[in-house]
Amino acid sequence: MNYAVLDVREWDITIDLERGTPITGEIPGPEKRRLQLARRLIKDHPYPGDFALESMEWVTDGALRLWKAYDPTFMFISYAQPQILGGVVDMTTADWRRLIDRQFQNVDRFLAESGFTPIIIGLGDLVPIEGYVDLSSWDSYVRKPDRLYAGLYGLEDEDDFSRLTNTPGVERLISKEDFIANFGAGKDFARRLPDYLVIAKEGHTFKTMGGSPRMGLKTVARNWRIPVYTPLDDAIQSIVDVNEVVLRNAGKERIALIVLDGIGIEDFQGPHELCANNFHWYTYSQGDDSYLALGTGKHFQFNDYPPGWLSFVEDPEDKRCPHDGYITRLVPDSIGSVLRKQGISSGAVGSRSTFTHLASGADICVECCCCDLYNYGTKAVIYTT
Amino acid sequence: MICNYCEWRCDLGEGRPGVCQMYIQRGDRIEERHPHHYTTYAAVHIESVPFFHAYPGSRSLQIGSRGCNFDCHYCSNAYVAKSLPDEVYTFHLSPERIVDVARKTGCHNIVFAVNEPIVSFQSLMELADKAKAAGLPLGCMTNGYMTEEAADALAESCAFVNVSLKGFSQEFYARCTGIPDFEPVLRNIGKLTAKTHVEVTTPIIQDVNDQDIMPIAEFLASVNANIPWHVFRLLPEYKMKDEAYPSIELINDKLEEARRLLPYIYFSNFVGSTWVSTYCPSCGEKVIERLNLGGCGGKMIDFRLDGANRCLNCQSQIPIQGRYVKWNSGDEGHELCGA
Repeated sequence: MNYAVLDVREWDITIDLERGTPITGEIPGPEKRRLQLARRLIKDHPYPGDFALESMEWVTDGALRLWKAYDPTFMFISYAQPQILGGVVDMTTADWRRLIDRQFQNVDRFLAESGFTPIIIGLGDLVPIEGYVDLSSWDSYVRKPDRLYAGLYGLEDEDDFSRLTNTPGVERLISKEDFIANFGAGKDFARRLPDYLVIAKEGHTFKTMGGSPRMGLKTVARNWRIPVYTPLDDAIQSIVDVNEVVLRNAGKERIALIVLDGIGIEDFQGPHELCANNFHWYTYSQGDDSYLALGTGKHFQFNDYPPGWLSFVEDPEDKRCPHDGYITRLVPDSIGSVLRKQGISSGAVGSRSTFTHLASGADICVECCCCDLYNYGTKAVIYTT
Repeated sequence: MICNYCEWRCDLGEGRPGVCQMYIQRGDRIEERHPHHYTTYAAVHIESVPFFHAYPGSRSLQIGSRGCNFDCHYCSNAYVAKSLPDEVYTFHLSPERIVDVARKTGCHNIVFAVNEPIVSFQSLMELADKAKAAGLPLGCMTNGYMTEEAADALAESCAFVNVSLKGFSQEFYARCTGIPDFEPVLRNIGKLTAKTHVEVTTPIIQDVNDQDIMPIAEFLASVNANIPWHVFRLLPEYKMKDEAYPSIELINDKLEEARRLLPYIYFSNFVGSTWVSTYCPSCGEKVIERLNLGGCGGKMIDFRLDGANRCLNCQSQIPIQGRYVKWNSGDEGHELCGA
């Protein structure tokens, strides 16, 4: 069984991660020790909130605490504040520079104190929102936090097709059949793929069913290349290569994969190389696509969740992993689960909520428990499988 | 002209938009400034809104506009409820289009939530007509601060209503919501309960309105002891974002006494809450099991009542509006979800 501890300040509960229900029976010894460690850590270390700059220190301090208490060989650490704050808070250029400096000071502090060998990857830039593409007159859907892609259903009229293709802000449409024929897809991805994917031009984002009513100031850039740094000899040519480099080295030295949301070539500090952030015309969007590509080493269409998927359809009473949003199963080939089979320990801390434990699959994961920028508390996940 | 939708009864003459800023006088009519404009529409579990005793298991098309006639210091949706028109994106969705979306996405009902429906009342009434014609029950969340005429119309149009009773003292209402008199809210809970299904929600702020727990329970029991009461642990937001998080144990201790008066008290708005399931008042059996996944209400994971909403163990009647439906039962035959 895999466990989660949900801590809402002054009160917590331990649940079965896959069923979502409270644990009532006795927890086995080794798992109990890890659970107690994680429970204590999040109790003493509540998440400040998505809008709080201190959440960057929360990640660093949490990662150092977890390292000292558990001594994992691999750590997955993700910082979401540049993307979250950059997306919705009106900041001056000087404010943004201070935020970025603070972000990299946090990374440096973790590495200096822990001595891990880093792989640092910036998931991409943010760009000002130039316009919204309103798809509400079509049968369409966006799945938070999708921004660059939307799903379209039942588009049969040629005029509609032409009108939509010529809508400002729309880069292209691709049909489900063309997508699968050209790129292939995993079984669940293919089944869930909308009739059409609509792709936004850079600086545009979609408004339709399923999206957030919040207004943004910036959205994710369509970055074909993103920055990555590691002192390891291994070449990282694509976002999907990171996984393999971690797995190849984690048995030899202590590796920390540090993921920086909202930071691309423009803002990455220090030496770095560039790696591909795309699959043909598809650029990763700093959502589950990026995180699962890092976690599994597979391109997005071989993970389970296409953009624009009507995720609510697969949310019946008995849905697995009810606390993990639209995710319908734990990721079987995440970094942590592969390392666990090799007897290599792992830990994760992140401010990108469920993506932290889903992508890392680490033995102990500490993450914020947030949805749509509301701070519901702090979560720890303990994987045993 | 005086606007008669809510109890502010604003004078909208000379281009004044009133407290909610959503209506304007045009000739001899009060009109919405932005009719049929919505900030959001999404398919959600009805239990998440929250409605725990109405159409259990159903899929709701949740819609919301913008604006509010209150100024709650802790508002969690201030970015919509307190926004100016150019600060928020709105969709134009005709009543026909909303019904069309609901049917195509397998929704069993429509619920106006997110912000106060009384500020978009004309649009809501037009939607009610179309939804009724399509056989889709309509519900809403409201602060209850509406005129008697509006309450009558709402009761006629809505099959289920959740009224937010935010406290039980004039001082609290004046200080934290900005309204001069909360008696209309109490009056309307009575009026609505007499005509339609009503649930009540109260956000609790420790040391601010937790002393109102028993007075509210006594009031609800005097109206109808079967009213489901959702007590929210307040998440400090908006003007109260720097306040402490309320203590769950302290609030729950106070709710224990209230549970003797009201059998259906739920305590939520915090992830993992174990106080979101329904127990049979007669035999104590857990008859509807829910999880709180973060946010207001919950998600149903088990339903153990018979077809007439009676406890499977002791046959006692549990007050439920409508019948249990399976989450995906509305998908059949609909082009988006039925594939």
